[in-house]
Amino acid sequence: MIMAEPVARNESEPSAPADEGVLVQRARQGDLEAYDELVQRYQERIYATVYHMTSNHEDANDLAQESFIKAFQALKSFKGGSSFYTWLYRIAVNKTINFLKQRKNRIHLSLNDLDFNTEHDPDLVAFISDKTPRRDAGLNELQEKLNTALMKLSEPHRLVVVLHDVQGLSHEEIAKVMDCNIGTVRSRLFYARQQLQAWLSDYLKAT
Amino acid sequence: MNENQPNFESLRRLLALKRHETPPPGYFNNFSRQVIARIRAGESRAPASLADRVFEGMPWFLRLLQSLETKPIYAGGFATALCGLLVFGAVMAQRPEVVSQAILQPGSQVTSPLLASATSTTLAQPVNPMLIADNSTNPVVSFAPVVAGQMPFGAQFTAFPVSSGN
Repeated sequence: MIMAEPVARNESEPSAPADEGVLVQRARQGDLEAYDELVQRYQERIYATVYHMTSNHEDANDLAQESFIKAFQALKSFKGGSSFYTWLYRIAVNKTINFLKQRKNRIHLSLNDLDFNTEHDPDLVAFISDKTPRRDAGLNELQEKLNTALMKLSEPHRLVVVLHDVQGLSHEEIAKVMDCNIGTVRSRLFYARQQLQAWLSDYLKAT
Repeated sequence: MNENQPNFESLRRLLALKRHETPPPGYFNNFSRQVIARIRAGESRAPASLADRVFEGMPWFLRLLQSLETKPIYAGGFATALCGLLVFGAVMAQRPEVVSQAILQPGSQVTSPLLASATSTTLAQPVNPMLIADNSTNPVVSFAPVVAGQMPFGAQFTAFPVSSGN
């Protein structure tokens, strides 16, 4: 199963907004069935974002659930200035960043396994069969190095990389989620990529 | 692409690997159920606290708290400002005592130039009782006995002619 398929920018933002608005309205009135539908709609993306920030399944599970619970409790304060999706993302991101700050001194990695289909992913096959200096590196080693490098980034830089390069959000969406301007998103993304490129140079083929 | 711009294509492909990291199979089948169960449990267990009920009507305050949570520098600045205000208030609360003591003790040194000028004019000169009487807003009371048929305070009866109104 491929998790968190890149969100294809604005046009793929969760189905019909009117439908979402109705669900949100019903959930605000305490309708848990409506909220259950909203949770199902966004659970994979929220989980994936939190997971890629923490690199730990248990933490991601707790944080994702708490984000949904907090969102439900705070629904009355949701004015609809942004989409529910952006608002929910913001809650999850804030919760995750707070958690990471508290956890700063006890970093440990407990990575999920790569799924079986990974080995057949055409992009990946092409990538590891290329003449990279470390073409013999196994998938797991590659995954571990990648996650270690990501965890070395500061939270705002990691978040931008995760949201853009892993989750596929646009700069505009990330700016809304992080409550900053697009220029900041771009500069953070550039800096983070530069850092990652330097740390992972052995695994990246020369272009 | 600009030659000076680094090429991140390989990195992006490497990062795409992250999309293959998955939670255990069937994980999402129960996720929403767990969330809803926790919401139900929370609702039945703990009625909203007084603080929650108070803040419910003030979403701006919740947003402020959230922003302080994520940006500790703001929280630090806010706390420092609050402490500064407290210290300032305490210092200002002490000042009237200093001033009153300075006024009560003519020989004492007054540090504030404003107070110094004020106290020098009020304390250095002898007090003229007439000046106080002239400047006073209290009614002037004469202790002379009031004779029958006379108005007190030297007032006189007077009459004003009234026209017929044509």
